Amino acid sequence: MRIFLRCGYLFSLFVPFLLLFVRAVEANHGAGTSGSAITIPAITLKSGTFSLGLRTELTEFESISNSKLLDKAVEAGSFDAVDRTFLHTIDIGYGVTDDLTLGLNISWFEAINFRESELEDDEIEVFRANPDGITDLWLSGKYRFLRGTQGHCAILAGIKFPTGVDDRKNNAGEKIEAVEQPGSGSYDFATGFAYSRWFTKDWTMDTSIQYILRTEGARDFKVGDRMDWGFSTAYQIIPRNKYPNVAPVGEISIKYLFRDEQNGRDERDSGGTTVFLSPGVRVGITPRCGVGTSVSFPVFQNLLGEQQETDFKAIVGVSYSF
Amino acid sequence: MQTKYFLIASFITFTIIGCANTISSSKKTQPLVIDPVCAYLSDMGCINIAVDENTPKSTYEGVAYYFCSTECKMDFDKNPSKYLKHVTLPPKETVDPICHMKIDEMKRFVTCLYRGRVYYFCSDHCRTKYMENPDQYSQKE
Repeated sequence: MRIFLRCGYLFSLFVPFLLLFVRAVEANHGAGTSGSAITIPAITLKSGTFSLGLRTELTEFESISNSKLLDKAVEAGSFDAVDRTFLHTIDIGYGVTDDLTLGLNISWFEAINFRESELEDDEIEVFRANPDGITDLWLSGKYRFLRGTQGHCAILAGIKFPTGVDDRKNNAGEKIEAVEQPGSGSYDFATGFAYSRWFTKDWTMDTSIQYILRTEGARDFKVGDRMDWGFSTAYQIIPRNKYPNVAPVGEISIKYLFRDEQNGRDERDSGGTTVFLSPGVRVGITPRCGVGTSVSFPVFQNLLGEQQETDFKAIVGVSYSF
Repeated sequence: MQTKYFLIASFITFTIIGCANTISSSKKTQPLVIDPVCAYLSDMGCINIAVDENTPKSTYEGVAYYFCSTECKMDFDKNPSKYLKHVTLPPKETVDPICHMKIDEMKRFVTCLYRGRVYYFCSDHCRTKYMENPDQYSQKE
């Protein structure tokens, strides 16, 4: 209930904002155009241009005390909990042509107060672990096949290589579950579509849909496929060709996770749908450098089985083009 | 009660900002020129720009071009012909409103956007003259 009240406040701020700022959108010079959490803009880098981005994503989960952890283990047989996670990502992009951008990104995963609980022979065992480490590497491509006054359209594609660590152990010396490891040990594939347009000179919108097809990874475990849809809008309070410039960004996104599979069988406590509402701000510091931040609130969560819900996410990032 | 005050404060804030935006929009009746780099990239946020003494400018084959930023100017200077390939040609019988030369018979021309209409000129000289007092020449037409 508290989450809904909090989101009610945000929504009351957000709706008048959208209604009154119906004016214009931004350009594609400078670093980055979106500033949103999930939505990928259809805008590509200019040919011969590199971009470097650093971003940190904090995910705060619902609070699970040790006694609650035991209760959940009794209900589900086993239950894992974490207070919060950090994902520090570096991504590099290169404009091969004005309409084709290739990118690489890799992250460092950190989990705070990770605990595993398991019901065995009517006894509950609780283990602690530190599943920090490097994640898998994504190689991605974006090809803009249409650009004009009616907007920009791009297709997205990507492949993930199993470079991440997948052998983190708990304090009993046992490997933690494959789904909790920073790396999945699998090759995954992504495909999607992005559309961006200017409603007016200062008011822009981006929307994208992306599907990630997972393959079987370490220990016969397959993380469930994933589908993301996002819609974001931004308004340039200060025009984009003046520096520093500022644009508030609002985003709504849906994350749909299919069930994980172990040895070809669906995992009961996995998968689900979450809808996030993410207000944020993007600041162009110089023509080549920009920063952005957003906070994502889950306005709807339907997680299958026994899973830990998300309280909120916060993202801060900086990007530089050269 | 707090929610009520918050909503009222939000409404007033956004109304003021919205009005400020409307006022600034009403001032936008000055002639605008097209940034050829933003036009090539369909960057609708900066495609039409107002020109003043600080506007980045380049001259290529005797014709002046204006840009929304020094970034665009630098891109243009590297490869001007790339950005001029996709320039829309004027309709037949188009005439420069200053010197009355026929534009469609010329190899090079420049443009200006005023009150939603595109005007074509034989040179930057004519365009500058027009932009100083666009209503005078638009009325003559």
